[in-house]
Amino acid sequence: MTRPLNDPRKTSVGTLSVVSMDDTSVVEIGDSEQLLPLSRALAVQRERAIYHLDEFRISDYHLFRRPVEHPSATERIRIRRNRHAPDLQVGRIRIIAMSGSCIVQLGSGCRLHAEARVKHIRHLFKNHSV
Amino acid sequence: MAAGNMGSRCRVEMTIINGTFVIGEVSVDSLSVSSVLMTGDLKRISLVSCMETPLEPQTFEPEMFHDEAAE
Repeated sequence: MTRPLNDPRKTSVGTLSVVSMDDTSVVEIGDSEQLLPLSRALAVQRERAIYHLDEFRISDYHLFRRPVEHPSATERIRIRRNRHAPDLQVGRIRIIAMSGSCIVQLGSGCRLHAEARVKHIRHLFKNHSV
Repeated sequence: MAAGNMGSRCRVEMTIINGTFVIGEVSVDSLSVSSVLMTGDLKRISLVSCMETPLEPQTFEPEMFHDEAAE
């Protein structure tokens, strides 16, 4: 069990530039208690680009049901922080692309859990000549 | 930093002294899935990325890809 931050920090950012963000990506300026982005994708490529409604279901694939073993959080960790200068100063951050379940955070966090699952499917014609 | 083993449990004690935290310029072309770029403190983090790619692509007769819109 994580507890909220008891010693927040002030963040100053000059420039933050992000050109492209995928679904379930997070850009956070400042502190957070928890961030849990989750991304599930079916990447279907067909030799002929014809797709039908409700043709694929996420629940049909084992990859998306596979359980995740989270690390245990039973150990005691005691942290004392002595901050002479608690502020965070960021000059310039430039990001071209963020894929699914990415986190960019300028500040402190208690608990981050990012999860991305992608199932690739390829459908080709028979007797396909390469 | 001091760490002591208490039987089957482990206790960790840390004292962190922070000075000024300054980042000049960061340039990232691409962050892949479940990536993190962070400034500041963090207690716990877990990152999960699962990807399944077929070794052999499935093949079908061309008639299976029936184009209704073209008719």
